[in-house]
Amino acid sequence: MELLPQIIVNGLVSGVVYILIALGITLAFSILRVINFAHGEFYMMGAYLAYYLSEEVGLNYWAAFPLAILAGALLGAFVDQVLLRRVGRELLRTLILTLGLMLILQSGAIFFFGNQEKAIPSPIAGVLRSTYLTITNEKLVVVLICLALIVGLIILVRWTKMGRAMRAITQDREAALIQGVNVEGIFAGAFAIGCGLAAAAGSLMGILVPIGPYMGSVPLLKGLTIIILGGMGSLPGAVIGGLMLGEIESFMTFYANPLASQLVFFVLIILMLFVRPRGLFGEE
Amino acid sequence: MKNRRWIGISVYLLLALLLLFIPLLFNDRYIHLMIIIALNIVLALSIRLVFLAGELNVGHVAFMGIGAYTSALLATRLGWSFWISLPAAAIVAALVAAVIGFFALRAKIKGWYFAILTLAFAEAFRLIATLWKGLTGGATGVLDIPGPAIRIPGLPVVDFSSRLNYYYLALVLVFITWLVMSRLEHSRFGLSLTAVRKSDILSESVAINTVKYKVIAFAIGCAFAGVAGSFFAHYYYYVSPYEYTLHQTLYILLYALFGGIGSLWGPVLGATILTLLPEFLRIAREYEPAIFGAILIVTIWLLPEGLVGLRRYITSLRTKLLGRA
Repeated sequence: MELLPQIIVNGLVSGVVYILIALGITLAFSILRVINFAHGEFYMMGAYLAYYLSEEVGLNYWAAFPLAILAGALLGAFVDQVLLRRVGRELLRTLILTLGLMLILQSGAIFFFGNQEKAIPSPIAGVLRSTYLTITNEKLVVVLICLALIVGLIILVRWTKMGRAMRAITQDREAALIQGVNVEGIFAGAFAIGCGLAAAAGSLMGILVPIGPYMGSVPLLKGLTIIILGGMGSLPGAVIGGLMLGEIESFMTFYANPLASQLVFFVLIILMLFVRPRGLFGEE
Repeated sequence: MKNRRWIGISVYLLLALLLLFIPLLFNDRYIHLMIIIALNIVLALSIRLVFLAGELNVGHVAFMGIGAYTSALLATRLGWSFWISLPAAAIVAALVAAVIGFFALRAKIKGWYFAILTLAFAEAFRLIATLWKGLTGGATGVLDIPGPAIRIPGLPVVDFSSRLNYYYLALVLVFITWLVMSRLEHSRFGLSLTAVRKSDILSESVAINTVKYKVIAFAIGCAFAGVAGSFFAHYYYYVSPYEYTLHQTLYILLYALFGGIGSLWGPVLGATILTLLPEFLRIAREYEPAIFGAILIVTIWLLPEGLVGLRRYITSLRTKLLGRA
């Protein structure tokens, strides 16, 4: 039982990272009505960029981090405005485009960085210890940055002009257009923010776990699980869903095996879709 | 009119003769390639059917896996002949698809939600196949699956130790798939599917049961995926969960879309060209996905209707450039 706090904290660490990924997916879904199946590859790209800039270019990690986010966001805006806009963001073609992008980015990572896993040396040293709990300082910092980004996004959507435009588009795209909302601009912005968040999650996780070309597929599936669980398009749903998922995974990995914990997610998606497709917090 | 029909028939006859005799000119390596092309055609044609009803199956590979495991287990555990376990594989895959499809589509899970559901199902299937060691052999899979054999009393036994026999079997499977798909498409059923794709609500208002049509299309498509899976199991003599990944489904989708889903020829062309392409390019295995990804994007970007849309595109371009002169 003395391991309980440790398991909960471990769940929290992965939970907040999943939330960042899920928020990006849910943002794109509620505003653009698309699902970016290459979302996990933006996460992977973020990790590699942070590695490349800090290890091979020689920047400080904290300078590399915002650059990785920016690169992710810019690529996101490009993908939306050049690729998705062209096909009218229609279901089949969007799916195919983003899946194609996923293949290219994965092979691209192998091309530039090889099959071997990479690691970013930790920018923060030290461990926080108490009787029941051991947490490294880097994990603590990762959690704090993730929380800051999550709060930042919620503020953006709730209390800024851009956020109001986003919510307007979510409710009624045509009406927003008539009211003078720059719909394409908001589309590009929302997609870019989502991709930037994924890149942020990736570059933070890059400190904690090894970086590999296929590291994006699991986060994508987890992100999808979370938004099905929390409700597609719901920001609070993504936050609560992410925390739940992190904890479930942490407990399952400890008491069962990691494969079984993955299976639980997929069964959860399937059951949730059947029982309550709008999710725990989604609106009809 | 009569003339044209004769030309059509002779083209088909020529094609049939070509397909029958062409493998005699090649060695085993190329016969293997032709078998893979044939099975990819079956898969691409089968994933297309549920497209026609407007839904996207991102878990096609799971139904292939269900077919493969069904057939492999029936053959190794119960000693069933390939000729019975192949249709059994089709039936099991179709039943699973029908159950999932029925409950999902009745609960109005469609569009993106259906895509996610099928994706989650495929991943769940792969994990179950890995974890349920007692039934599936876990990560090792099922080994020593017997190949098919034809035993007719009084005649010598035809076993499938040569690639050539597998090739003819694959050819028969393509032919059957083509026949079923083209029959379905040109029937009332096919017309209703198109109506359902264009508008759910409108179709319902003219008394088309949209759920029923989508479920049937999904189940029939998955039945053929099961057939392909069964064939592969007996062709490679083993099945393992590692073959049924999302990437495989992506390739199947790519074959169908690159060729174009507007006509039956689309998936056939797409599967043929894209299976041959890596052979000719001789690129490293690990960069193959990038090439395929680039082809996917360029196809969707320039040719939304795939290769079969090219002809119409050229015609419209010609009228645009020359028509007004």
